[in-house]
Order: sequence, then structure tokens, then C-alpha cells
Amino acid sequence: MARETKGIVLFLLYASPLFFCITSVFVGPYSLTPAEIVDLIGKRIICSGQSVTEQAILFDIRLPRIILALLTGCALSASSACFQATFRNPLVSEYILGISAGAAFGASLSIATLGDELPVQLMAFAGGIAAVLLTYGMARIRGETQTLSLVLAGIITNAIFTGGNYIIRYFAEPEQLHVLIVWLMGSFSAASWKDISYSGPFIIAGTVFLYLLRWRLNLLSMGDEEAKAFGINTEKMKIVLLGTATLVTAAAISVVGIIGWIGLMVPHIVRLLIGSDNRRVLPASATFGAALMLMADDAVRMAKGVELPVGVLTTIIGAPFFAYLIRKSRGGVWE
Amino acid sequence: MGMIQVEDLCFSYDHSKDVLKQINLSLEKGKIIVLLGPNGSGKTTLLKCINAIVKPTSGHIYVNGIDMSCMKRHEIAQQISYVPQDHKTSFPYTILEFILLGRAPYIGIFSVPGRKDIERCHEVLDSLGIRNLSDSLYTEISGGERKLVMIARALSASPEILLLDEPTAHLDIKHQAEVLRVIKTLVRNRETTVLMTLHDPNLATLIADRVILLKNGRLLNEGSAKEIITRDNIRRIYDCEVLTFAYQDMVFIYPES
Repeated sequence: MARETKGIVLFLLYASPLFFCITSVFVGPYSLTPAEIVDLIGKRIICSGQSVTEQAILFDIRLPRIILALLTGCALSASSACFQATFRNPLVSEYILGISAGAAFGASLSIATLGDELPVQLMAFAGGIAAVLLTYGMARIRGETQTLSLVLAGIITNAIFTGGNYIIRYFAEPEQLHVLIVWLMGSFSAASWKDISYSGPFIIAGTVFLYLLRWRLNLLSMGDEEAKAFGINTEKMKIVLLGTATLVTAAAISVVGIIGWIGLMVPHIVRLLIGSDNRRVLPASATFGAALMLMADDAVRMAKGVELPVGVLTTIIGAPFFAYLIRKSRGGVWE
Repeated sequence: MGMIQVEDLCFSYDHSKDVLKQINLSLEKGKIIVLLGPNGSGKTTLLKCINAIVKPTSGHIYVNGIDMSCMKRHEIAQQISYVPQDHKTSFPYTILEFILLGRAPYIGIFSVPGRKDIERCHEVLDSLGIRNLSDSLYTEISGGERKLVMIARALSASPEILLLDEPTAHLDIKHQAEVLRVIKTLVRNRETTVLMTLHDPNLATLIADRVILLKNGRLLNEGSAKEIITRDNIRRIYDCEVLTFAYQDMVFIYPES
């Protein structure tokens, strides 16, 4: 691809969330025109309390939903880009260390047994972190953490937490079971400012931190030995990067539930468009991931009648699209 | 005292069997030193010790008189670069992106390479005559080009000492010659010190200022190629019958069939 085209593509990837942000404000069963929206925002600023319904639709339903979708897409995609570079494998996502299984277990535990004592978000977050700690603990042998041991330990952790999840589900009451299943299918339909205040700080701070370390990802993707020869403390660097990516992912899924395929797919699409250098892949994954998540959520909101959880849509569309992508891609991805 | 001084170096991977036993050696500035030895004799491990990729079990390594165990990792990397035997590709980076990684010892943790780093990489690419590859993908170039790119990446850090593990492995005869020529020019022009392992004693004869023989983790013998690469020595370290023949004033070896 010519350098100029690459520049334009990069700009579009960076600017994509802005575009979808503007269009998404108009999506929903209650129609609002651009003029009305400008009017509403103006009234909000000068605090004149008219048209309460429209105010509520825009500021308490649509805006939090848009922002939460952006944050979640950004979190899942940026952290996946980090996981893929660290594991030197373009087919790795947030599942690899057991985060999703751990978060699901935490959420199930909270929904089925603890009731309202501990919020689902907190338990899911704790579950995700606990799972990663278990994976890391198992994989660390004599002060070293080989990538392959991490992958194997991740598989074991996934199995342990999934098993736990089955037990909880088996004993859960039917109505709890329904809540649980809906939670597992990740959705933004209940998005609130409170959710954003839970996950937002982690996601924003973590993504900025990953962005600062973006070039280090290139170094780590050369493998431990070569990275050490470059003068990198690989053990510390891995803990810092995987730890941050874990926090970011756990913060996102603990609030919205499990949304598959976005994390795996986005860095992959970005690499196909602008190359492999993580100096660009990481930020472009963050922005494009945010845009794609929002687009998926818009699609779900536009459906008449029943609103599917967005996690179902991303999986149904994502899997075949991903198959198409990897068959089309060249340059070592499928070697 | 050499640029690198190795004293009583021992190494084992899990405290059971020693891979390196009581190694003493010194590398003089501006020389090409070749490590010869059968597979599993500890050649690669010795390179990894000198590059601080693995930690010696006991003994000391001094870089310009400073004990390496007191140096920071990036300080070591600023002086010593390493060209591994194999590089497993992960992502299709462009050659420039790939070579820039060699600048890591000079780049702060939260920074990215700047204009000066890119200029340095272009210099190295020019000096190796592979500037034209700069925008190609690592996954799409030939084996011989990859080897040159790996060397370029190591050189981008402007090291005083260059360690190479089997730089001629898997290369055809033309590319073997090319790589050896590059190494020779490098040492002559920049007074870089080179320590490398080779499988082929004849290539060592062609290029080495000094040859070191390793077997079972012990240093058996060292000296000029002429002194060291003899029928007896080769038979002793490789357990294999060989024939020799002389050409100009060099002695070459081939296995008896």
C-alpha cells in the first residue's frame, strides 16, 4: 500500500469513533432530529428543565450507552492487541489467560448465591483478576514465565472456572439462571452513568498506559531471548503489560458481560490495513475497536421488535468474517 | 586485558548437569574469534552467558573491566549485540521496523524511536547494501536476506562486541560468503570485536583470527586457526575421522567416508 493511502487509512481508523458517535445519537425507537438534539444539549447547558422525556432519552439512555460501548470496544481491542504481541500470536484474545471464564464465574456466584450483598460487577472483576493470578502462578517456573506455559495454564484456568460455573448453574433457581445467561451474553441495554464510573477510569488509564508502552510490544513480540538481548527486563515487562491488559479487560466485561470476537478481530483487521507495527496497531485498535463496538450496538438497537444482546451479534457476524479475513491475509499470519 | 574477560565461568540450566565448566577466556578488541565444537558442547550457551540472556551459575564476566553482574541490562545491550541462529517470525514487520528494534538499549521505556534512530538504521542498511529492502516485509524476503537483516538489527545498536550464533547456518554457499565478507569488513572498519560459533571448521580457517575449541562444556584448546584446526584436534573434538588438504597456506578438512 502506498504511504499516502496508508496515512489516510490510519486517519480514518483514528477518527472512526467520532463518526459513529454522532450517528449513534439518532439511533433508537424514539426518533430525535439533529435540531432537537442541539436544542436538548443547549437546554441542558443552560439548565432549563423542559421536555423531560427527551432529556432522559438523550442523557440517561443514549449517551451512557454510547460511551459505555466505546469504552468497552476500546478496552477489549487494545488489550487484545497487547495480548497478541506479548504472546507472539495473532490469534489470541482476552480468553487466553482465563479472564472471561473467571469473570463469568464471579458473576454467577454473585447472581446465584450472594444476591444483592456484593454487586455483580465487583464479583466479576474479582473473578477475572483471580483467574489471571492463578494462570500466572501456575505458569511461573523458577522465576521465568514461558509463553507456552502461560497458554497451557490459561487453558487449565479456563477449565477450572468453567467447571465451577456449571456447578453454580446446575443448582441455580430458574429465574437466577435467566439473569445469569443474559449476563453471559454481554449487552449495553442497561448502560448507566454508574457503569461508566466503575469501568471508565480503569479502561482509560490502562489504555493510555498501554499506549505509552506500545513500542515495547514490538520488542516483546520477538520472543524472550531476543528481547533480553535488546536490554529488556522481559519478566517485569510482561507482568506490567499483561497486568494492565487484564485490568482493562476485566473492568470492561465485569460491567457489560462477555462480548466475544471484537478483541480477536479488531487488531487483526488493523494489521491487515496498516501493517504490524504496534506503535500504530495499539492506538488504531483502541479507536477502531470502540467504533466497531458502537456500530454493532447500533445494529442491535435498530432491530425492530426484539433486541438481541450485542454479544450474540458480534459472535454471529464475527466468526465467519474472521474466517474470511484470515484466508485473505498474507504475510506470515497463517504460516 | 581484553574487551571481554571470562573468568571461571560455570553454567547449568537446573543445577544438575554443568553445561559450561570453568571457562576462562579473553576477547581482544578488533578480532574475530570463532567457537568450534560439536552440537551440545555449550557454544550457544556461552554466547548467551556473555550476552546476559542467561545468568552464570558461578564465575565472572568483565566488559571493559566492569563486572557484568553489576551492569544494568540496557548498559550491557549498548555494548554487546547478539544475532541468534534462528528467528521465529511472529508478525510481518517491515525491515525498517524490524531493524529499529535494535535501538532499544538507547530508547526510554515510554518512548519510541526518533529521527536519529531511523537515520542510524538507514546507515546500517546502506553499509550492508540492503537499503532497498527497507519497506519489504520480513516474512517475504529470502533466507540470506533475513540473515543480513538480523545482522543489521544487531549493528543498529552500534555495539563494540558482536556475538553471532551460526551466522552461516541454512545459507547457500554464495550467501555464506556474503555473510562472512560482511563480518570481515565490519571488524576491519569499525574495530568491532566478533565472537561467533560455526559448524564448519573450514569457514573458521577462512575468517578466524583465533579459534576456541569447546567440548562437553570445557574449553579444550585455543590459538590461531592454523594451530588449532588440525587433523588430531578435529578428530578429538568431533569423534570423527577426517582428511586434510592444504591450499595456499591454509589447511582444510573434510570427513573421511
